[in-house]
Amino acid sequence: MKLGLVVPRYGVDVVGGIEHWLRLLCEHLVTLKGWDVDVFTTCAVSAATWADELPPGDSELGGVTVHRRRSRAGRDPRSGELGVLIGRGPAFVPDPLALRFIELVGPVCPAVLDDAEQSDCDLVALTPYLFWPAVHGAARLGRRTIFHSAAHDEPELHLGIMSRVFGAVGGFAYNSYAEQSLVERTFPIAHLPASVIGATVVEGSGDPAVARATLGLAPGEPFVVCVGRVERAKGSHVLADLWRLYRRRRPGAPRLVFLGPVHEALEGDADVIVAGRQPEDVKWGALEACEFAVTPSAWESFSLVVLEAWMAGAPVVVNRRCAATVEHCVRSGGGLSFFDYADFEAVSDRLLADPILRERLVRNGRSYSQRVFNWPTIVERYEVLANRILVRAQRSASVPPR
Amino acid sequence: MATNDNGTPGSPDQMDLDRLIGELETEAARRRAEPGYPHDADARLHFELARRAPNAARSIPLHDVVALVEDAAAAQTEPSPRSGARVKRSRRAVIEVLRQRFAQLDARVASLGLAAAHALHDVIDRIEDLEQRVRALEPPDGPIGPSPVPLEDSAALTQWRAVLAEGLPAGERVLYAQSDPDEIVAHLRTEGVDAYAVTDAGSPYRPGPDVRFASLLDHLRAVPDRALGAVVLAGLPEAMSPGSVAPLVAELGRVAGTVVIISEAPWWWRLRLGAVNADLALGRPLDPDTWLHAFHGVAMVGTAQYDPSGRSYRLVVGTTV
Repeated sequence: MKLGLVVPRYGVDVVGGIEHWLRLLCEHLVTLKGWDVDVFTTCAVSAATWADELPPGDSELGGVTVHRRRSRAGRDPRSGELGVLIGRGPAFVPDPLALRFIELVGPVCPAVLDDAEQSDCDLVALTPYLFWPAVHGAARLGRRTIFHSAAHDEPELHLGIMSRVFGAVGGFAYNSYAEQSLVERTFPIAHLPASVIGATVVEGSGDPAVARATLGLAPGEPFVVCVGRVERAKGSHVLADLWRLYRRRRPGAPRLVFLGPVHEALEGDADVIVAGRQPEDVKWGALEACEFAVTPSAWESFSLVVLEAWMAGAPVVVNRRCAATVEHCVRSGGGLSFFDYADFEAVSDRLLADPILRERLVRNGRSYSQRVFNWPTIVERYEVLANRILVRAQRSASVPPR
Repeated sequence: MATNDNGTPGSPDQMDLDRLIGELETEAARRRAEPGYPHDADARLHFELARRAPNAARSIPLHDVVALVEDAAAAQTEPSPRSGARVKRSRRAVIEVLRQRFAQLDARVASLGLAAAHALHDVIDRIEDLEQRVRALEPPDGPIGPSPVPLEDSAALTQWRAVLAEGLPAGERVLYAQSDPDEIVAHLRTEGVDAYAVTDAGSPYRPGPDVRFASLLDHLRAVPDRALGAVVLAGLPEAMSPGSVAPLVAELGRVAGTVVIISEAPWWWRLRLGAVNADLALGRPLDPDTWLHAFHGVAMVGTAQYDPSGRSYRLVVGTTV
């Protein structure tokens, strides 16, 4: 099997759930299944700008051939303003305006799609649904496409043009049942091949003492951590406010540490530490040392951080508005959720006061991560799905439409 | 099948998570009622959390739909007399103004349709919810009680396994529903059938590739017209609730060229419910003739065949015989 992957950015420096996860998937398909994998991508590293930061050309990374092309346009700041307008009624946005919005979101890189279309790949994986390459690639690559939509219930998913995007592809690799359910109730694509593939993490390690020192914490100081990009859409700012209120009502409570690249400014203070992007070993050390980890985002299609926390030994608290992270907690019995401040306070109080409960939650979460999301199982599931899509693509190429 | 192992519910530590969540919710409610609880801050944070979360498109209040109706009804389709009086417009400009006005009207009507559909969905969901609650309140032996698993269903299905793929269109997508979805889909695939399954039975956390967890009717409603070559349903009559046959047949007629129904244990249900209750007016069509009659209504015809013991039957209908 020769698989292509069209993705807006790709590389070891890329921080982003689906991009990071797909890089690992490609590398594991090469090592565990002996597939050939070609990646068609831009020169971007940051999703905030899509600026060309890496040199164009062909290279190899982890056994995968990477073809990088320069973008014609990156992310236009006006996309944010237009996005707010679109959010008020996405289903009613005329197609030309929606396409203009996608162009502003970027990265506009027709060369990537040209490469993928002309390649000899049996199938091409395409991700994520919202960006220019997927919106235009779905139509061009059609039934040869395995769509990793990474969809969550955000306004852009309900743009009228998305029905054509989702309807054009060959099949779907979902991150969670929540994502599958969302996509199948939003678009008439339920008959197409699909599978919940999930994702997994490569377990790392770190020294809790070093992590504490790096994050500005005293030796042995208890703390709570939130790992991931700091931005409003991820719930970082509202979590900071929740924690400040919690500390006002519980003056002795631990501090909250945000660990991850800061995309939208968040001021640290006596209650909250904004540590910014840190090396992997600091992240793993922090997850091991913390009392619990919070994932406040309501818009996740999988959330690798939840799995990472369990692997490192931290129980998790998630936003009950996020179907995917709640799904992990319910399936595993490894985490708790909050809906508003009162829940948040009750859950935090209980977790901070009950180390045995924390330990049991972690044990459940870790067991779930290892059992359900291990590499051999994931690549096996992926291969079965890919074969189904390939057979259908070949049939539809040979059978005239009804 | 290794690929089917996508996890099972429960965990090694049999912690009662539901109970824990219940305790925490009670505790949260108690705190909200405490004097000095920061209601203002809570409300502000609640607003922030809600605005950065999925906004259920379905929850459009009815008065908003009414407003949209009024808006659409009041929409002007004539060019404004004021704008016409100001300057003499070219024919092309007038056409452009009209085009824009009609586009606006079109958008308003489209939004009205969507909003009405959302509201209707809410009503349907509510009715389905109430139906389920009523069903749960019925005594277990009542005529419309919840459907227990028929006796030896898999054994009955085994009798039809050899001819399961017979008559299914080659090269087209086939949906299988009801009994043993993983196993039957794997069997159909070995026969060269491009099959997938949908089921609402059992745990939603034990999927295989291309096994969807959804109600059959909901799933069919999400499938485009004529997207499936065939639909195979096994054990279906036994598991159906009264009143669901007509919408099911309508959807089957819309999406599939061929429908195969395998009734695994009609005799058992007939004994249990009595022939009349079991097969009355499309309530629970244990008799193949009832199915044939129903499919005739959507221009599908076919035949039924009993197994040699006469205990189960297989019905095949299609748009052409």
